[in-house]
Amino acid sequence: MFLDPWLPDFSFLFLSILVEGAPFILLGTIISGFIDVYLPSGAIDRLLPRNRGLAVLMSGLLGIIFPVCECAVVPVIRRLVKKGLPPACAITYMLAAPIVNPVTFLSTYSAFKKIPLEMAGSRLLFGYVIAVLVGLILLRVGVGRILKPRLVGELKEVASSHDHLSDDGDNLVEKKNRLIMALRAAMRDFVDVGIYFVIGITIVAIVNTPPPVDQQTIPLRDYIDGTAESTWGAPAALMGLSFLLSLCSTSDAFIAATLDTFTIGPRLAFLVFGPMMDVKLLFLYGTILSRKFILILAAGLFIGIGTLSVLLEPIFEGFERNKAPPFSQTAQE
Amino acid sequence: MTKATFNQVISSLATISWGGVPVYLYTRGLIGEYLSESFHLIALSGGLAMIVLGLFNLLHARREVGCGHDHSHEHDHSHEHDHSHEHDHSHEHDHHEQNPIAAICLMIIPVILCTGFTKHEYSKEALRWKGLYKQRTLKSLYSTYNTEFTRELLEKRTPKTPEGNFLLQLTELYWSAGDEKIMKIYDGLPAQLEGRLIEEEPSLNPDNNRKRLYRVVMTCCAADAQVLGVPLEFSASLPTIADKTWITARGKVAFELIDGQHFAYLRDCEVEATEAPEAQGRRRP
Repeated sequence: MFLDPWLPDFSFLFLSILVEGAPFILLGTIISGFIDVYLPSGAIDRLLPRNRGLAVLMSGLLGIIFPVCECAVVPVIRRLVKKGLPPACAITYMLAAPIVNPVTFLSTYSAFKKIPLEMAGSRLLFGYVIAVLVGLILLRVGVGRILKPRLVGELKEVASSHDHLSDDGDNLVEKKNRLIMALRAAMRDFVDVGIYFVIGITIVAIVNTPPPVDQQTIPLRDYIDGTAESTWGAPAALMGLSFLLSLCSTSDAFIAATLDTFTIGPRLAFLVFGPMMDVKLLFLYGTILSRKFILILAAGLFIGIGTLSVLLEPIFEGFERNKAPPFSQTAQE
Repeated sequence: MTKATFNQVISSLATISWGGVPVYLYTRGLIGEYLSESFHLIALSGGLAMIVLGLFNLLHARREVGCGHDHSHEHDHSHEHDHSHEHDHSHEHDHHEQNPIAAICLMIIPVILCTGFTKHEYSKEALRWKGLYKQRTLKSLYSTYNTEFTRELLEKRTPKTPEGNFLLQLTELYWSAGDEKIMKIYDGLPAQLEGRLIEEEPSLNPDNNRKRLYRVVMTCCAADAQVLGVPLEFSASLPTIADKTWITARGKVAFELIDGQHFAYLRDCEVEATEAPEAQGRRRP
């Protein structure tokens, strides 16, 4: 077969990521479809505190009530922004929700058997702080510099022309029409997001497939293991790994737990950066955010998370020191 | 057919084609090769939901519906004009048309091609690339536990065959290497393991008396899988079982030091072909 075995391996990986991620995207787009038709414009904004800073702080915690992973959150956010949620709050929720939610907390807790609470708690706090910092910064940035120009245009149109009816006066036909509209909007979002998702997972599958020409090429993971001793190189390498692997935030902790040549700081950088920015998200974000802003956001997250993980490493080291297994130390001695 | 209806039909077909993949893999019993067990039902229900969503929209593709919004500011329905005129109540909220070519090229064609090309498993080259012949960790798995791991604990929690072989998971044996105290507990243990057989790396097999037992361990999906392999050393002649066949291997646990790193292996092995277990490749390390 042409390009055998590269093509079967690539196809295998491509489908595995597709069948893993697509149900979550569908969930997000169905929610977004119903938000589109049933949620009045500005309703979410009215639920948040009037003080924008407090609104950002609260948006970072919405994942506890509405737990969604990073694939599902993008179409929801896209719709909420159109419904009047301020972009700063929307992006805070988008970055925080995949980490600050009970499912991710529990999976991190079970993955790190030695220091479960410390790792799960640190990840949650780390993710929340980063998302809120981004949100607070974005309060000072104009909508036009954050969102896609097309979305900005639609926001202006929506603000000037649409008002939703309440359900009270609707007849049966109107309710049925609304259901059709909701599911039509859901599918439209699904296809919109799906197109970008395919581009992302194609890149992820290529990176994870042995190259067709030189079978002796060293896998990425071996390069990354070599950076474990470097203060700045280790978090940078693990953030790069999480970017390329594009794992689901609900289960990436099980991978981080096996990266035991690295200290806690770089592993937390892996666990916080990955759900906020990876290859597939780069393309999914393209359905909402301007390209320039995505690049600035990616660079900012990389620098911010990397720096924090290095600065906080002494605290993280304390977790392991307090619970070091006696027999492995004895063996080394 | 109007352009909007055509787009609706293409989007429906794209959604149905995506939903068909997990349903097909699940019904063919292949989903375990692609996803870890915790995602199986999610994938199946997601696939079914995609098919339902696609079919629903396909059936209603020609139907014109209002958008659920009040257009009274634009359309004065109290006057006497003909409501069948050019008011377009089927407009989309996004005010943009999807490109059907993009949906066909990026959603439908790749899925059909990949479903045709996949062999539902890694090639030998990919297995090697994923670490079949490598030891990934310098620490024993049990050195990360807070309670001390002892021979008594091992005997208490590990079932035995009637012949007295400990039924070990390959992952358990793999991760036992690296810690002197834990290796002592396992060393010489009569054990029985299940996995798939493959040829040993020639540089690790100078006496040509070894094969390798491996399993693909995934956290979420095949993309993040690690391939864990343990050498099987035979005192008699090498078995003539085809590569990638599921086998049961019996032997004694041993450890060796290569380039300063410990590896677990099974010596004095006997093997026999077996059925693929239900939970193949689905267990977490």
